[in-house]
Amino acid sequence: MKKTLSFILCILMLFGLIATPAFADGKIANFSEDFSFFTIGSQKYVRCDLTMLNAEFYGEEDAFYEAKLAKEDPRIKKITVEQSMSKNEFWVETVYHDGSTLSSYYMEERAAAVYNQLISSDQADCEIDFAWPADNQISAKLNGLMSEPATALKQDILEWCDYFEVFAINEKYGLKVSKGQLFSTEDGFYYMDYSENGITSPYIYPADYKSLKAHPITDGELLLLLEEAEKRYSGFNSPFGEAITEAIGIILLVLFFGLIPAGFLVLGLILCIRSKKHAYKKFGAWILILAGATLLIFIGLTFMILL
Amino acid sequence: MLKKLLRYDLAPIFKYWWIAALTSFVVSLLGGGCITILRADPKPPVILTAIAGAGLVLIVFCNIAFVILAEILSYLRYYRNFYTDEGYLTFTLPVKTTTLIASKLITVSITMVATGLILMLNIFSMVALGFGGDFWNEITTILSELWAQLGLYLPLYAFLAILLILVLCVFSSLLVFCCITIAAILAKKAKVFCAIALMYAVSGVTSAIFQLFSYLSMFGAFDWLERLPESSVKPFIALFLVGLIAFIATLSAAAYLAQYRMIDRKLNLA
Repeated sequence: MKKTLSFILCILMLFGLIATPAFADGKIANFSEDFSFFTIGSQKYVRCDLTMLNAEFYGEEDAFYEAKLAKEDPRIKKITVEQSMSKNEFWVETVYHDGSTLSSYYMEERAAAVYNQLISSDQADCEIDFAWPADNQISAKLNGLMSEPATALKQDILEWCDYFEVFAINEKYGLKVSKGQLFSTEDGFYYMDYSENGITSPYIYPADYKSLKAHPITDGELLLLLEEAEKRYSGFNSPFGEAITEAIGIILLVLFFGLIPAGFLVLGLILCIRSKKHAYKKFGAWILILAGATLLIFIGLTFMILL
Repeated sequence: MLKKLLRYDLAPIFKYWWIAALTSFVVSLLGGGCITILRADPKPPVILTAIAGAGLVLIVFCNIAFVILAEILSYLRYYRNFYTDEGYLTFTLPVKTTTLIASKLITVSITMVATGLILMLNIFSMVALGFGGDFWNEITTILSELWAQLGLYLPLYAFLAILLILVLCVFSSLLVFCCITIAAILAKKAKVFCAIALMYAVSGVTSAIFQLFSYLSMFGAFDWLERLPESSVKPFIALFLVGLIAFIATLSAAAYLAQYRMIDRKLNLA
């Protein structure tokens, strides 16, 4: 009896867990006739271009709102309204009957004004995000990063991953706006501003680096902070230094695909020569052939890399 | 004689295995229905969504149970046949010990491969039923993109990958055999418990090695691989796969030898 009750209880709990999101209250976004804004309760959200905003959408069940239109549009098949993690932004995807889709972003009215101000400001409080490790960020003033005149970035950056996002921050509205990137070259650190370089999306790729204009960073205090952060970053990349890490890799590969098959080769040889029992001789021959083949292949691969 | 042994080894396993396989397949087809309900637009009644969600969870568990059952059935057969009272009869059969081990190895490998195939079929049919046209479109896109990038290397890589999986199957079966045999030699009581503990230790060591390689590759220890010229990358990968297959086959041969030697010299069923 107890077992049956426990079983029923487990099943009910399972159903409860799965059904909870489905029972969640319906949330409605009331769109204006021209789609320039929508309201949720008394809160107004206006449409704006959020290309430079670091907004995160995770597609969780409770982040979705139901769209209610001021005037029905027969061309529209479906509208998905998703709220961002910081709650200030919405991603609206409109699917039309002809199969085309339109993505647009909306933001709380006052937050949108602050966002636009952050985009145009050169006085903003910034955060330099070294991306790895996760809590590796330092604060700086944007005008401090741009104190030296911009020159062409002729040097190569050190590694593909040696660039760091610079964000203008507004904590009150939870806004993180991409302003530019910080590069590490052999000469030191450089700040590249997106608006100065006419970049309209915060994603640029190594092929573009040499054509960029960037500000060399000369502020001693800031340089110290940057070097510390860079050390933390590099420390995660290679705990023993790059050369030693590479050497460890090669030693492990030689040990694994070189010495182990070589050891088996010797074992196979010994079994073939010394063993009196036919079964062991046969095993020895098989091990000899397979270990020999493995060794030959890995020697071939080594030559391919070296040549 | 090997054929006869195989028949006697496979029959008791597949007596139960096919029921589990059929059940998991039918249940997976129902899973496809569950996915269809969960993806339906407009959304169906809440109770139906809840049933479909719970059903999907149970179906996943059912498939996991099928794999575990198949493994237990085949290794239990090996253990009982060799190291319990049945062992006395097994070793009095007029066949060589190598033939006995080979029969068990082929049996376990066939069971593992068949289980893997059924599992793939289950997942494939569940997803195909649940996602319908989207799934086929996705598969076609992925395959055509792969073909565009790899060309004739695609079937070659697929063949080598299948071969690698087969060799890995044989090697992992031999490792389990070795663990069971060592436990039978060392432990007077609780042989099964000892074998499981050994198996955990072995899998711990292998996963530690794998993690060490991943850890080092994260720090760029194998960056020099990226320096290979573009034209050499595809043949390099193919040759590397062949090397890996030969390496695991060497380890398997050594494990087979160790297994044979332990049974031949160390095992005392008295």
